[in-house]
Amino acid sequence: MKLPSFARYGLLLVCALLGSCASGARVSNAMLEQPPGSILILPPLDSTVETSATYGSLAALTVPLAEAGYYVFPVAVVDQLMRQNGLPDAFDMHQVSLDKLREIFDPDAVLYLTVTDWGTSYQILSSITRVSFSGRLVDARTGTELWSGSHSVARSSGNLGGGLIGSLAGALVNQVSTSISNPSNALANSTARVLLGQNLGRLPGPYHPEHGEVLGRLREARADRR
Amino acid sequence: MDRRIAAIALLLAGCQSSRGLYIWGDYQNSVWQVTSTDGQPDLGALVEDAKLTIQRSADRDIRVPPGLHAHLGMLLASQGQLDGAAAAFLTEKEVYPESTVLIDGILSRMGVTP
Repeated sequence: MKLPSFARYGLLLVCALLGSCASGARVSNAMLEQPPGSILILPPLDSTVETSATYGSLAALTVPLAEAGYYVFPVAVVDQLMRQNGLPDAFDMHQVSLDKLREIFDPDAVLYLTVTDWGTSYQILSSITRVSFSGRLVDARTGTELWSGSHSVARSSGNLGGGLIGSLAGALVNQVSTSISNPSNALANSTARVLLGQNLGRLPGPYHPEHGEVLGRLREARADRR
Repeated sequence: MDRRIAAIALLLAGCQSSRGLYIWGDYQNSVWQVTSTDGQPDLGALVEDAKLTIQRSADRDIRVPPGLHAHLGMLLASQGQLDGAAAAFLTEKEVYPESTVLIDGILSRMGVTP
Protein backbone atom coordinates (compact mmCIF):
# COMPACT_ATOMS: atom_id res chain seq x y z
CA MET A 1 0.00 0.00 0.00
CA LYS A 2 1.51 3.27 -1.07
CA LEU A 3 0.41 6.18 1.05
CA PRO A 4 0.47 9.72 -0.22
CA SER A 5 3.21 11.64 1.55
CA PHE A 6 0.88 13.79 3.63
CA ALA A 7 -0.74 10.61 4.99
CA ARG A 8 2.67 9.24 5.92
CA TYR A 9 3.49 12.41 7.82
CA GLY A 10 0.08 12.18 9.42
CA LEU A 11 0.86 8.67 10.65
CA LEU A 12 4.21 9.82 11.98
CA LEU A 13 2.43 12.56 13.88
CA VAL A 14 -0.03 10.06 15.31
CA CYS A 15 2.85 7.86 16.46
CA ALA A 16 4.50 10.83 18.12
CA LEU A 17 1.26 11.76 19.87
CA LEU A 18 0.71 8.21 21.05
CA GLY A 19 4.31 8.03 22.23
CA SER A 20 3.80 11.06 24.41
CA CYS A 21 0.74 9.45 25.99
CA ALA A 22 2.30 6.14 26.86
CA SER A 23 5.26 6.60 29.17
CA GLY A 24 7.06 3.86 31.01
CA ALA A 25 6.40 2.22 34.31
CA ARG A 26 4.01 -0.56 35.15
CA VAL A 27 1.29 -0.33 37.72
CA SER A 28 2.73 -1.92 40.88
CA ASN A 29 1.38 -5.14 42.33
CA ALA A 30 0.63 -3.30 45.56
CA MET A 31 -1.51 -0.79 43.66
CA LEU A 32 -3.38 -3.59 41.86
CA GLU A 33 -4.02 -5.47 45.10
CA GLN A 34 -5.03 -2.45 47.14
CA PRO A 35 -6.22 0.20 44.65
CA PRO A 36 -6.81 3.47 46.52
CA GLY A 37 -9.95 5.55 46.02
CA SER A 38 -9.08 8.66 48.00
CA ILE A 39 -5.75 10.46 48.03
CA LEU A 40 -4.43 13.00 50.53
CA ILE A 41 -1.96 15.38 48.87
CA LEU A 42 0.40 17.03 51.34
CA PRO A 43 1.95 20.38 50.40
CA PRO A 44 5.13 19.39 48.49
CA LEU A 45 8.57 19.63 50.03
CA ASP A 46 10.77 22.22 48.39
CA SER A 47 14.35 21.25 47.63
CA THR A 48 14.91 24.39 45.56
CA VAL A 49 15.82 27.89 46.66
CA GLU A 50 12.51 29.32 45.44
CA THR A 51 10.10 30.16 48.24
CA SER A 52 7.06 29.94 45.94
CA ALA A 53 7.66 26.29 44.94
CA THR A 54 5.55 24.56 47.60
CA TYR A 55 2.32 26.44 47.05
CA GLY A 56 2.83 27.16 43.38
CA SER A 57 3.03 23.41 42.79
CA LEU A 58 0.34 22.41 45.30
CA ALA A 59 -2.28 24.28 43.29
CA ALA A 60 -1.42 22.26 40.16
CA LEU A 61 -1.81 18.78 41.65
CA THR A 62 -5.54 18.37 42.29
CA VAL A 63 -6.91 18.61 38.76
CA PRO A 64 -4.91 15.82 37.06
CA LEU A 65 -5.39 13.41 39.96
CA ALA A 66 -9.13 14.07 40.26
CA GLU A 67 -9.56 13.86 36.49
CA ALA A 68 -7.86 10.46 36.71
CA GLY A 69 -10.82 9.40 38.87
CA TYR A 70 -9.55 9.76 42.44
CA TYR A 71 -11.15 11.56 45.35
CA VAL A 72 -8.62 14.27 46.20
CA PHE A 73 -8.90 15.89 49.60
CA PRO A 74 -9.33 19.69 49.40
CA VAL A 75 -5.69 20.80 49.46
CA ALA A 76 -6.22 24.32 50.81
CA VAL A 77 -8.48 23.02 53.60
CA VAL A 78 -5.89 20.37 54.50
CA ASP A 79 -3.11 22.96 54.51
CA GLN A 80 -5.05 25.38 56.69
CA LEU A 81 -6.02 22.65 59.15
CA MET A 82 -2.44 21.52 59.54
CA ARG A 83 -1.12 25.05 59.96
CA GLN A 84 -3.76 25.71 62.64
CA ASN A 85 -2.53 22.59 64.41
CA GLY A 86 1.02 23.80 64.78
CA LEU A 87 2.55 22.54 61.54
CA PRO A 88 3.80 25.72 59.87
CA ASP A 89 5.38 24.23 56.74
CA ALA A 90 5.57 21.30 54.35
CA PHE A 91 8.56 19.79 56.12
CA ASP A 92 6.63 19.47 59.39
CA MET A 93 3.54 18.17 57.57
CA HIS A 94 5.58 15.40 55.94
CA GLN A 95 6.70 14.21 59.41
CA VAL A 96 3.15 13.46 60.60
CA SER A 97 2.59 9.72 61.14
CA LEU A 98 0.16 7.77 58.95
CA ASP A 99 -1.83 6.91 62.09
CA LYS A 100 -2.37 10.59 62.80
CA LEU A 101 -3.23 11.38 59.16
CA ARG A 102 -5.80 8.56 59.18
CA GLU A 103 -7.30 9.87 62.41
CA ILE A 104 -7.83 13.35 60.96
CA PHE A 105 -8.43 12.68 57.24
CA ASP A 106 -8.89 8.92 56.76
CA PRO A 107 -7.44 8.72 53.22
CA ASP A 108 -6.75 5.47 51.39
CA ALA A 109 -3.36 6.78 50.30
CA VAL A 110 -1.04 9.73 50.90
CA LEU A 111 0.93 11.51 48.16
CA TYR A 112 4.37 12.77 49.24
CA LEU A 113 5.88 15.03 46.61
CA THR A 114 9.11 17.00 46.38
CA VAL A 115 9.73 19.93 44.05
CA THR A 116 13.26 19.44 42.72
CA ASP A 117 13.30 22.26 40.15
CA TRP A 118 11.25 25.43 40.17
CA GLY A 119 12.04 28.60 38.33
CA THR A 120 13.77 30.37 35.54
CA SER A 121 17.49 30.65 35.01
CA TYR A 122 18.64 33.52 32.88
CA GLN A 123 21.44 33.25 30.40
CA ILE A 124 22.57 36.16 28.33
CA LEU A 125 20.64 35.19 25.21
CA SER A 126 17.76 33.19 26.59
CA SER A 127 16.09 31.88 29.68
CA ILE A 128 15.08 28.39 30.71
CA THR A 129 12.20 27.63 33.04
CA ARG A 130 12.18 24.17 34.57
CA VAL A 131 9.72 22.47 36.90
CA SER A 132 10.45 18.97 38.24
CA PHE A 133 8.59 16.83 40.75
CA SER A 134 9.40 13.51 42.30
CA GLY A 135 7.08 11.66 44.58
CA ARG A 136 5.58 8.54 46.05
CA LEU A 137 2.10 7.34 46.89
CA VAL A 138 1.82 5.37 50.10
CA ASP A 139 -0.99 3.15 51.39
CA ALA A 140 -2.31 4.96 54.48
CA ARG A 141 -2.94 1.74 56.43
CA THR A 142 0.13 -0.33 55.71
CA GLY A 143 2.69 2.27 54.63
CA THR A 144 3.33 0.18 51.51
CA GLU A 145 4.56 2.17 48.52
CA LEU A 146 1.91 2.00 45.81
CA TRP A 147 3.59 4.17 43.21
CA SER A 148 6.63 6.37 42.72
CA GLY A 149 7.77 8.55 39.89
CA SER A 150 9.36 11.76 38.77
CA HIS A 151 8.98 14.10 35.86
CA SER A 152 10.60 17.25 34.58
CA VAL A 153 9.39 19.83 32.10
CA ALA A 154 11.52 22.65 30.74
CA ARG A 155 10.72 25.51 28.43
CA SER A 156 13.19 27.92 26.98
CA SER A 157 12.45 31.31 25.60
CA GLY A 158 15.22 32.38 23.32
CA ASN A 159 15.68 35.22 20.93
CA LEU A 160 16.62 34.05 17.50
CA GLY A 161 17.58 36.54 14.85
CA GLY A 162 17.03 39.66 16.87
CA GLY A 163 20.72 40.49 17.10
CA LEU A 164 22.69 40.77 20.33
CA ILE A 165 21.15 44.03 21.51
CA GLY A 166 17.68 42.70 20.84
CA SER A 167 18.48 39.51 22.74
CA LEU A 168 19.77 41.34 25.78
CA ALA A 169 16.69 43.52 25.86
CA GLY A 170 14.53 40.42 25.48
CA ALA A 171 16.15 38.67 28.44
CA LEU A 172 15.76 41.78 30.54
CA VAL A 173 12.09 42.26 29.66
CA ASN A 174 11.49 38.59 30.39
CA GLN A 175 13.06 38.92 33.79
CA VAL A 176 10.94 41.89 34.75
CA SER A 177 7.60 40.61 33.53
CA THR A 178 7.97 37.05 34.83
CA SER A 179 8.64 38.06 38.41
CA ILE A 180 5.02 39.21 38.42
CA SER A 181 3.30 36.35 36.65
CA ASN A 182 5.40 33.32 37.54
CA PRO A 183 5.96 31.07 34.47
CA SER A 184 6.71 28.14 36.79
CA ASN A 185 3.04 27.99 37.81
CA ALA A 186 2.08 27.28 34.20
CA LEU A 187 4.82 24.69 33.71
CA ALA A 188 3.78 23.00 36.96
CA ASN A 189 0.49 22.10 35.25
CA SER A 190 2.33 20.24 32.47
CA THR A 191 4.58 18.44 34.94
CA ALA A 192 1.63 17.43 37.14
CA ARG A 193 -0.44 16.30 34.15
CA VAL A 194 2.24 13.86 33.02
CA LEU A 195 3.37 12.65 36.43
CA LEU A 196 -0.03 12.31 38.09
CA GLY A 197 -2.56 12.24 35.27
CA GLN A 198 -0.74 9.92 32.86
CA ASN A 199 1.78 8.06 35.03
CA LEU A 200 0.01 7.56 38.36
CA GLY A 201 -3.30 7.68 36.49
CA ARG A 202 -2.36 4.65 34.40
CA LEU A 203 -4.67 2.93 36.86
CA PRO A 204 -7.67 5.30 36.87
CA GLY A 205 -9.48 5.82 40.16
CA PRO A 206 -13.04 4.73 41.01
CA TYR A 207 -14.72 7.90 39.64
CA HIS A 208 -13.26 7.27 36.20
CA PRO A 209 -15.57 5.39 33.83
CA GLU A 210 -12.72 3.05 32.82
CA HIS A 211 -11.66 2.16 36.37
CA GLY A 212 -13.13 -1.35 36.48
CA GLU A 213 -12.12 -2.27 32.97
CA VAL A 214 -8.48 -1.15 33.33
CA LEU A 215 -8.13 -2.74 36.76
CA GLY A 216 -9.46 -6.04 35.41
CA ARG A 217 -7.19 -5.93 32.38
CA LEU A 218 -4.06 -5.14 34.43
CA ARG A 219 -4.82 -7.86 36.96
CA GLU A 220 -5.29 -10.39 34.17
CA ALA A 221 -2.04 -9.35 32.53
CA ARG A 222 -0.27 -9.81 35.86
CA ALA A 223 -1.77 -13.26 36.33
CA ASP A 224 -0.54 -14.21 32.84
CA ARG A 225 3.00 -13.21 33.69
CA ARG A 226 3.10 -15.57 36.64
CA MET B 1 -8.80 6.68 2.49
CA ASP B 2 -11.91 7.31 4.57
CA ARG B 3 -11.27 4.14 6.53
CA ARG B 4 -7.73 5.25 7.18
CA ILE B 5 -8.85 8.59 8.50
CA ALA B 6 -11.38 6.87 10.70
CA ALA B 7 -8.67 4.58 12.09
CA ILE B 8 -6.42 7.53 12.88
CA ALA B 9 -9.30 9.38 14.53
CA LEU B 10 -10.01 6.31 16.63
CA LEU B 11 -6.36 6.06 17.72
CA LEU B 12 -6.37 9.70 18.70
CA ALA B 13 -9.64 9.36 20.57
CA GLY B 14 -8.14 6.56 22.67
CA CYS B 15 -5.37 8.91 23.61
CA GLN B 16 -7.43 11.98 24.20
CA SER B 17 -8.71 11.80 27.76
CA SER B 18 -9.02 15.57 27.89
CA ARG B 19 -12.80 15.55 27.69
CA GLY B 20 -12.69 15.70 31.47
CA LEU B 21 -14.87 14.53 34.31
CA TYR B 22 -15.43 17.92 35.92
CA ILE B 23 -15.89 21.65 35.49
CA TRP B 24 -13.14 23.32 37.52
CA GLY B 25 -13.73 27.03 37.00
CA ASP B 26 -11.03 28.98 38.81
CA TYR B 27 -10.43 26.41 41.58
CA GLN B 28 -6.71 26.12 40.95
CA ASN B 29 -6.18 29.85 41.15
CA SER B 30 -8.36 29.99 44.23
CA VAL B 31 -6.22 27.35 45.97
CA TRP B 32 -3.10 29.29 45.07
CA GLN B 33 -4.57 32.59 46.31
CA VAL B 34 -5.54 31.10 49.66
CA THR B 35 -2.40 29.08 50.34
CA SER B 36 0.38 31.31 49.01
CA THR B 37 1.49 33.98 51.38
CA ASP B 38 1.77 36.98 49.08
CA GLY B 39 -1.04 39.41 49.64
CA GLN B 40 -4.58 39.10 50.95
CA PRO B 41 -6.97 37.16 48.73
CA ASP B 42 -10.29 38.73 47.79
CA LEU B 43 -12.42 36.18 49.65
CA GLY B 44 -15.70 37.58 48.33
CA ALA B 45 -14.60 37.08 44.73
CA LEU B 46 -13.34 33.56 45.46
CA VAL B 47 -16.67 32.64 47.11
CA GLU B 48 -18.62 33.93 44.11
CA ASP B 49 -16.40 32.00 41.74
CA ALA B 50 -16.76 28.73 43.67
CA LYS B 51 -20.56 29.13 43.76
CA LEU B 52 -20.62 29.83 40.04
CA THR B 53 -18.59 26.70 39.28
CA ILE B 54 -20.91 24.60 41.44
CA GLN B 55 -23.89 26.08 39.62
CA ARG B 56 -22.38 25.37 36.20
CA SER B 57 -21.85 21.73 37.22
CA ALA B 58 -25.45 21.49 38.42
CA ASP B 59 -26.74 23.06 35.18
CA ARG B 60 -25.00 20.37 33.15
CA ASP B 61 -25.92 17.69 35.64
CA ILE B 62 -22.35 16.59 36.34
CA ARG B 63 -20.68 15.91 39.68
CA VAL B 64 -18.96 18.84 41.36
CA PRO B 65 -15.16 18.30 41.52
CA PRO B 66 -13.79 16.62 44.66
CA GLY B 67 -13.06 19.15 47.39
CA LEU B 68 -14.83 22.14 45.86
CA HIS B 69 -17.71 22.22 48.35
CA ALA B 70 -15.25 21.92 51.25
CA HIS B 71 -13.09 24.64 49.71
CA LEU B 72 -16.15 26.90 49.53
CA GLY B 73 -16.88 26.01 53.17
CA MET B 74 -13.41 27.15 54.19
CA LEU B 75 -13.77 30.43 52.27
CA LEU B 76 -17.15 31.12 53.90
CA ALA B 77 -15.80 30.29 57.36
CA SER B 78 -12.92 32.73 56.78
CA GLN B 79 -15.54 35.38 56.04
CA GLY B 80 -17.40 34.56 59.24
CA GLN B 81 -20.38 33.04 57.41
CA LEU B 82 -20.57 29.97 59.62
CA ASP B 83 -24.02 28.70 58.61
CA GLY B 84 -23.16 28.77 54.93
CA ALA B 85 -19.79 27.18 55.72
CA ALA B 86 -21.41 24.30 57.66
CA ALA B 87 -23.86 23.69 54.81
CA ALA B 88 -21.06 23.58 52.25
CA PHE B 89 -19.01 21.17 54.38
CA LEU B 90 -22.04 18.90 54.77
CA THR B 91 -22.59 18.88 51.01
CA GLU B 92 -18.98 17.77 50.46
CA LYS B 93 -19.65 14.81 52.75
CA GLU B 94 -22.91 13.96 50.97
CA VAL B 95 -21.36 14.03 47.51
CA TYR B 96 -18.09 12.41 48.58
CA PRO B 97 -18.40 10.11 51.61
CA GLU B 98 -14.59 9.70 51.47
CA SER B 99 -14.43 13.07 53.25
CA THR B 100 -16.58 12.01 56.23
CA VAL B 101 -13.84 11.91 58.89
CA LEU B 102 -12.36 15.23 57.75
CA ILE B 103 -15.72 16.99 57.56
CA ASP B 104 -17.03 15.64 60.87
CA GLY B 105 -13.82 16.85 62.52
CA ILE B 106 -14.19 20.34 61.02
CA LEU B 107 -17.87 20.58 61.98
CA SER B 108 -17.29 19.49 65.57
CA ARG B 109 -14.53 22.10 65.90
CA MET B 110 -17.01 24.67 64.54
CA GLY B 111 -19.45 23.56 67.24
CA VAL B 112 -21.86 21.97 64.74
CA THR B 113 -23.12 18.46 65.45
CA PRO B 114 -22.49 16.46 62.28
